[in-house]
Amino acid sequence: MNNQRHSFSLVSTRTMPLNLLLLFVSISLGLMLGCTNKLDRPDSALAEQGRLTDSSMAKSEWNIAIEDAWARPTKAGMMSAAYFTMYNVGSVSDSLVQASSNASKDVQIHLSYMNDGIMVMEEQPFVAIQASEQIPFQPGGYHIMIIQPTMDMQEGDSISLSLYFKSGMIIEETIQVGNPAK
Amino acid sequence: MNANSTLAKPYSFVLTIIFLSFLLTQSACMNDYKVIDDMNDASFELVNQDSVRVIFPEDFRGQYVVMGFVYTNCPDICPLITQNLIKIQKDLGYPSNVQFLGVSFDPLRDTPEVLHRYKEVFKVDENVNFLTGEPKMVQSFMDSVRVRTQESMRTTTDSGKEIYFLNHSDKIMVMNPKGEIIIEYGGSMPSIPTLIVQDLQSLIQ
Repeated sequence: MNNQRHSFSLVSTRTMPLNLLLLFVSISLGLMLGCTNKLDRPDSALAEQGRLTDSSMAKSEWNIAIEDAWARPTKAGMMSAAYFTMYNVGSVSDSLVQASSNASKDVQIHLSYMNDGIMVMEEQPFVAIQASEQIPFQPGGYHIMIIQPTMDMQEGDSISLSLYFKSGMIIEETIQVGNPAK
Repeated sequence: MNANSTLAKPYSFVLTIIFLSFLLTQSACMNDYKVIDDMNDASFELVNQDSVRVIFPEDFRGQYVVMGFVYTNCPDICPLITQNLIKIQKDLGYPSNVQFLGVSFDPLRDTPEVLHRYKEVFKVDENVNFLTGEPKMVQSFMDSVRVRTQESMRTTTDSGKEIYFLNHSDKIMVMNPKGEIIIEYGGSMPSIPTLIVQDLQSLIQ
């Protein structure tokens, strides 16, 4: 009994530094991986902004794209909006949860619609897009609101637009100012 | 048979006359628009984007006026209304006898200076004016043209700015030279310029 105790005590004494070392290495690795995630994985950007992401979706399943993106010309301190068509060409649904731009720190997802004869505009916490679905972001409907841009946005200029998705995917594009279809 | 035929002739003649009279009456009434609102009941003192005083409707008597209702912090719908005003003016060939107005229902933020910048953004013609005024006067004006507004959302942005948005009526109206509102359409719809141009062309000719 004593021997056992002794032996246990010996093992314990020997393994303690090893355990501590393993713990330290694990924490270091974890921190390193965490830092790597922050640099490489877009969902860290969402986590920073307090948004929930669903990292269960593999990167190979990120199949969302936008086309025909443009932003409305305006002057610094006024209002603008960005428009595009969002496609989900994959087989997994996703949700647009946030947007950002170099034109303003304040960028929101909004929806305009008519209700009882009044034109209403509401901020949207997210816009879900199903597999194989396409959603137009167009005047009078969904749009990315660029609030009081810090720069003049003239026809022919370009701004950056980043769209953050629940899956962790980020679409980063440079979009033109002015409607090309006009 | 012959008797019936003889009797039928006067009847068909009368029917033809009635039908032609109906057609003539209809064509004569084509340009008659029902008065929606008579704006002569009141007078509104407003200012334009250059801080020039404007008395509505007196200053516009004798001219057709196409007017939309906007606020400059509106990023989506009001630009459509403004662009429709611009398109109507362009499609009519920039007529000197038709005035174009964008009236703000957000006078607290839409000062003449802000409206001046808004006008520059849209590169609108000289003959388009944006109006604002004292809040009570603007509210009274909006009531008279049945333009409704309500604060929809007041929020503090990520950068700490407090902003608010307005739900609002979506209208473009035409006032005739007598100061009567005779046409009223949804302001932001893409089909509106064509309809208003057709109406105005039939009225002006």
